[in-house]
Amino acid sequence: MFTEKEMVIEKLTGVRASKKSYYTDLKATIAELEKKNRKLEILSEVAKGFQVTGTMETSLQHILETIYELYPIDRVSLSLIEQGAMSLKSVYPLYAEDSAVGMHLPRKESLYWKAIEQNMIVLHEWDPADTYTFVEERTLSALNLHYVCVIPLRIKASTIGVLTFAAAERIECDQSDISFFRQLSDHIAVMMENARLYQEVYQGRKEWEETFQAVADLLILTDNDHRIVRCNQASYSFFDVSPEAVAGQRCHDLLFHDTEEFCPIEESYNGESMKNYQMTLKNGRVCDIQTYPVRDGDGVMKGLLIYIKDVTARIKTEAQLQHSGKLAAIGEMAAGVAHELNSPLTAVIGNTQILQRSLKEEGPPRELAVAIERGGRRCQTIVQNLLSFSRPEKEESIECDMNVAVEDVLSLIGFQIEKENIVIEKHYSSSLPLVKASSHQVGQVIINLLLNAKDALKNSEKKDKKIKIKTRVVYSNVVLEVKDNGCGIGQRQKASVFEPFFTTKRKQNGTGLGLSVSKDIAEKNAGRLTFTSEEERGSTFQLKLPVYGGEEKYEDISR
Amino acid sequence: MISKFMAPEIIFGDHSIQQTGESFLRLGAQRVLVVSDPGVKEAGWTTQAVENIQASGLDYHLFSNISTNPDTNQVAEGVEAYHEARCDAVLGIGGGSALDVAKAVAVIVSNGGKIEEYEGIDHIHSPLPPVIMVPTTAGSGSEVSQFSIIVDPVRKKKMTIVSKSLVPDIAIVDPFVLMTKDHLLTAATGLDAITHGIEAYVSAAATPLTDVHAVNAMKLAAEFLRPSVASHTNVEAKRAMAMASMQAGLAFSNAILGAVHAMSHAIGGRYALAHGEINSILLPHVMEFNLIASPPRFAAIGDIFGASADGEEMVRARHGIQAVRALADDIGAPKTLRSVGLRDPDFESMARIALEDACMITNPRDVALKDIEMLFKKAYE
Repeated sequence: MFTEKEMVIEKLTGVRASKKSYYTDLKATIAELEKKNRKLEILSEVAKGFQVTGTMETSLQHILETIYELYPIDRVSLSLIEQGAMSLKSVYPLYAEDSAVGMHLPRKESLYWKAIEQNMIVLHEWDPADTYTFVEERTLSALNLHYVCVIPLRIKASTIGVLTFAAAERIECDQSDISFFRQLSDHIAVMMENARLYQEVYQGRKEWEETFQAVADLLILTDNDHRIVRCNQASYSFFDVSPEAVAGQRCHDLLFHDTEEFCPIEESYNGESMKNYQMTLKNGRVCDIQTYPVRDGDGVMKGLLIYIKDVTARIKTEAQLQHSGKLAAIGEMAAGVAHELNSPLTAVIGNTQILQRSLKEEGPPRELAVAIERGGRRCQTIVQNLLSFSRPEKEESIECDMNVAVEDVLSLIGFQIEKENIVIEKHYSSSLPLVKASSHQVGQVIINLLLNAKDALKNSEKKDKKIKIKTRVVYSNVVLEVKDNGCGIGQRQKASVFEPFFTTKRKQNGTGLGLSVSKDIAEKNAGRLTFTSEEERGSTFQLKLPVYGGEEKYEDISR
Repeated sequence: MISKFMAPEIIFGDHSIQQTGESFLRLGAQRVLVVSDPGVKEAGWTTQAVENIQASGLDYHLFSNISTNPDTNQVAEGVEAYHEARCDAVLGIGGGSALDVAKAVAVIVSNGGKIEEYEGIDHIHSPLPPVIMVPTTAGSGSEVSQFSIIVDPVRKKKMTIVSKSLVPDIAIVDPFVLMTKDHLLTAATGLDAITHGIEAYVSAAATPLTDVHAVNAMKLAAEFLRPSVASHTNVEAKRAMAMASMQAGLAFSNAILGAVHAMSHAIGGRYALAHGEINSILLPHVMEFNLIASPPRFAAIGDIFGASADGEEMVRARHGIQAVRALADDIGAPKTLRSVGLRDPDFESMARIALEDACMITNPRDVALKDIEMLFKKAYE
């Protein structure tokens, strides 16, 4: 009683009480504001560090590190509800002895569930010596953690899970801390939802993009001003351009040669329905083009999808089939004619031999008979060659003498050439090895090269028209060179020489397939067909084929 | 024993009321809530203070709805006025009632809530806005004290609010202001000051620092209260009583009071009577009761009031009580509670309230419930 009275007197006279000072009040207010500001900064840092695409662990680590200065927590975990069941999704830091990840949290014994059901932040401390009430106590106690703050994560009206902060010892929290946790969790919940939505959109977009890229044909999306918005990978490879170079380019600049010209597919942009075209693009490929207007949600056309299919090979095959069908018919006819000629020729030769024997002494009659026999034999050779050339190949021959092949061809078409007052100069290598190719195919190439040379000279005004045929060995290759001094090939046409259906000849004279097929043959036999040409000076074509049984080694013969 | 002495800045002197505006300026105020009572307003002192505030370039808002023994409702009204007028400082100008309301308003505007929540010792947690007090009576001592007394009409109780934060920033004591008081008010407030001095002097918490002020206050009052009541233009008497009241305030604010105030508060909660008058009626009875607690001090009081210079302590002490009675008599103070209009008093319940009053703690003699009842009964007849 006495001390109580003394205490009251002491309070009244106030040794321990002072007039409240605005300075301390202000300091407290400033400290409070600073703490509030720091919390806001932390919220913003957490938001900045939250990775939409990264792993959850990285984000949890960032949260822990950011808030550590205010709350010395030892472990942060995230548990999510999926189809009514909750399990622990990720933890930071992940200790080796922490076996909680993936752990199912049974509704009845879970503290986390309790926080969700009560829809409030739960601060829980327990004595590890006591028996455990909740499953989480056991897990955390194993890590020497005896305090946990459980924060439900809410998105709109629903709770998606809990975020937890665990520590070894109690962390003092007042109302402002609780409201900070609330804000933090709302923030994190929104970010997680954003991340989920982002992933969904990203996944959907990726699937579409992969589909788009997977199409082997060309897909080009343009806006209404013909500007390219996007192409698939096939388009970039086809035109050999980079996505950066193409973006914003006009579609017809990419597809066709003449940039000034009216867009060949202009009407696709006017008409609002699907259109079909077949056109040769600037790289010489023949393509089927289909255009589809792209519409927005209101049905207004906002661009054009151009679908391009390269049909060059198909058309070439069709033409080749047609051509070879013709050839086969001619061959058959030729074989028939040759066969018919064979009997009379045999008779001519046989009778001439008899005649020679009867003309015992030398003299003009006998010389005439010999000449007749020689002529007859030459005819026979021609007929033989014609027969063998036109005969459908039964077995693929795999070796060929280039000199012989040239001679065989010349026996067939040499006359046609010489008829045009063209001199054929032959420079055969005397020690030419066999090449690894079908003589039938090689013959075909030689015919093409000689006929082209002839045509080039035919158009020329020159007096000394000349075709120079040369064979030689260059390392392990045999090279055949056919050189004319004809009109040459124009600079602009050079790039198109080997393109199928490219021809300078009039319709009846050429299919535009000769050189294209010849190049194919050369390449199929591991060889090459190249040319050099100068306008008005002539062209040189080189066929290079590997030596039979020789090393297949690349050597640039144009050197 | 450790003690503490707390006082505000004190501006004392003739016409010091003219310092009001500048003082607020120094405290950083911009718009002052002026808490005053209708009597002071009528006397013109409020206008003087307000004009001075305006002359200093500051704004003000007047709140003068103050009655004797102000209650919680008036405090709430004052708080509303403060917020509505967007004030940032408080001036209390008037008697003890106006000053106590001004303090209570200042408490609520910065601490929030209701004034009832701050009853008792040290419940104020935030600093008050700048507060200046200009007393217009020489008695309450509120301009320098850490007390504010507000009536709770629900509990019919005078609440005592005690806090160092209730000590104003500046007290402006202008003796000239006292000249407009009538002799009745001069007498009643003067007796209040004497009660403050005597109770602080014999308080269980008295210290040498409080003694200096208590003794000087008693001496000045003993000499100048009579002339002050006699003439409202006696400047010397007004100066002396202004000083006496202020020093008595310093003394009791730091040494606290005793049974007189505890009992007076209990009566004041139920009856709208002048605080000074009740104090003066109760004072001699309580002095007689307390006498044995400190004969030397009561003897000293006797010496101060000039009863007789010689004799035993107890004799001088008893003479002192007679001298205080005589002084009250001379200035026409009422002698009994009955005579001031206490109707059907329930002394037992009032005694219970008085026993719980903070002022009772420092009473020099232990007090039992029946002691208080007995004292009430004595003072009644």
